[in-house]
Amino acid sequence: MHWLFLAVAVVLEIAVALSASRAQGFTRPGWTITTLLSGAVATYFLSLALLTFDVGVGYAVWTSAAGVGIVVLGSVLFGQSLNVRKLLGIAVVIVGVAGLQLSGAG
Amino acid sequence: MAPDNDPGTAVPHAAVRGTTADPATPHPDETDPGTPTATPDRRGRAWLVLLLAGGFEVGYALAVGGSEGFTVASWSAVAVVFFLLTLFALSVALRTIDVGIGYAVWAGTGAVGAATLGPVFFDESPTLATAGWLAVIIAGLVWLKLADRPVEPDPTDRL
Repeated sequence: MHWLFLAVAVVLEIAVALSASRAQGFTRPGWTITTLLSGAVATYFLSLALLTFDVGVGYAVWTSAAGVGIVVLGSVLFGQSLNVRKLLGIAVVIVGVAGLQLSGAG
Repeated sequence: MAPDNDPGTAVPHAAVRGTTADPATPHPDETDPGTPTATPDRRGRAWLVLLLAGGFEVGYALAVGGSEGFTVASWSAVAVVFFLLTLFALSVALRTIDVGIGYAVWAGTGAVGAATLGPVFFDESPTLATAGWLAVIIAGLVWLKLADRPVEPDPTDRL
């Protein structure tokens, strides 16, 4: 079950970023509520997953999967295509965050 | 899941992006009429707000830690406030910054801040591996800041 909980947390974290982008600085009520709800429920499912997952591994998978999903969907849904330099920068940051969490400090 | 308060803008923007001349403007329908492009000033402010969002994320993480599983009321309340602040600031920053970059910077600054301040507030000790990964993240953040320019300026056009 913990993989399912983690998958749900990833999908919701992707929803947080995409709806935060759509919420335009919380000027759109519907997207604002979606942002806050996804954020709260994502945290809940992540905490469920972390009951059985190793915390570092769980966080690392969560952040990196969400980061990849957000880049892909930002490109597909919003037309925000990123060049190689930007993708490389995102990859370095995400790898760094995952490495930090796997090393036990995240 | 999809809110229906604003059906006209809930449509993915890929379809309307062809109508704008500037591919660097993430949300052409929301841009001020007088400024059809994201000016350097506006982009710089968006980055500041994004770093602020990372700071609020750190406050949220520390408050959640202090709330001991949301059993301490005061820290739980602080956590909720930081939760709202971090998502609000993220949303403001993403008006200008692409969501993929914005999320990476938000998560990256949050992770750096939490790993740096964790030892200050809690009984944790940083390791060499921690310092190494922090350096990787910071290098990536600086790289992203430098790479996040809408159009490469042509130096020969300056004069």
